[in-house]
Amino acid sequence: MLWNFFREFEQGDFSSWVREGNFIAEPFSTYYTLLGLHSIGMAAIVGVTWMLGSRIFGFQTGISLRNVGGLFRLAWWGFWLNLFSGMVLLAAQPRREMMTGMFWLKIAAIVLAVWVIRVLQKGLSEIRTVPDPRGGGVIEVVPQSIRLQAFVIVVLWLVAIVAGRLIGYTQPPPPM
Amino acid sequence: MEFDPSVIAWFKAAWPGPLVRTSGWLFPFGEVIHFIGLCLLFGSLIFIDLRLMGWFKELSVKAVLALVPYAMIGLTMNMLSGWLFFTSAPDTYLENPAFIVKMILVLLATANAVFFTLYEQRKVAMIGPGESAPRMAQILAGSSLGLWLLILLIGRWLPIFTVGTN
Repeated sequence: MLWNFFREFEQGDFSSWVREGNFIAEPFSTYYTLLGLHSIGMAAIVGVTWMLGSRIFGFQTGISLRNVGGLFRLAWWGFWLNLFSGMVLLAAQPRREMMTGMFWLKIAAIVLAVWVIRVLQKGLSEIRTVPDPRGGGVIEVVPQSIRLQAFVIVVLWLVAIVAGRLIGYTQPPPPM
Repeated sequence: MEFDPSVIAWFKAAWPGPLVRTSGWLFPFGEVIHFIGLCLLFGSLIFIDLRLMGWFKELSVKAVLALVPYAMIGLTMNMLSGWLFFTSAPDTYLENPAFIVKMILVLLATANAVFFTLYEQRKVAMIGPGESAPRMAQILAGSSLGLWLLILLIGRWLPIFTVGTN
């Protein structure tokens, strides 16, 4: 029943516009413009969380982990752009995407990554500081669990990127 | 735009073009590397440029500039994977106006970064938390971010302008 709904949906105006129409003006196709926005959103959330991961692993110690709230907002902005453009892109050919294993692998990796980022964000807000024995400032003590979460995020984004790239190469022909 | 056929032939014979044309996995592998490089480049630049433009003032500029090596690694990954794509079909890329525009914008963004490194980086490196960067550094940061966003978008538009597609 759901399959029939998607079949009819793909024949509708909206789906056709995403697949074959132009975004605002010719020749800027809706599909490739949305792909561009999708990439910008993905690069923002992946890039920002990777940079935060680098800090958590012990590099760029000048960046205080207690002051990265703004960066998480930026990462979430990227995620919402990625999600919105991804959902509209899905409207182009939902049945074909759902028949592709790499699509589901990408979605699973993103869902898991988002969940771990939320856990990590909460953990960072409770981070401890100790006085620096060399004098002056303080040292932020990053628990092992937060390092592990940052590592899992890096790996999950790699899986999402590889799977996302391979969707186009492993898709079956459009269903009838 | 017209290009000398001998130039195109040279690019076509250049490594790893012939290898990419006969391999089923090298092109998608290059795409993965290109996107990972993009994430490193964009992820670090968005941090640095927005701080210079006045966001995240709770962080010092020096601390944020420590992310520059990631931008360099990302740019190198993109240039290497971009060369892989280009040598696989140089004629197709060279007759694509979006590709020419993208390359001009990449050159502009690189020149922007070199100008910032030579003339502004030393001045802004001492800017502490809560302080603003000079006007020129803000302008360079804004143009860097704008240029890279445009490069990303135009990169995705390449298939629209590739002859015989869309």
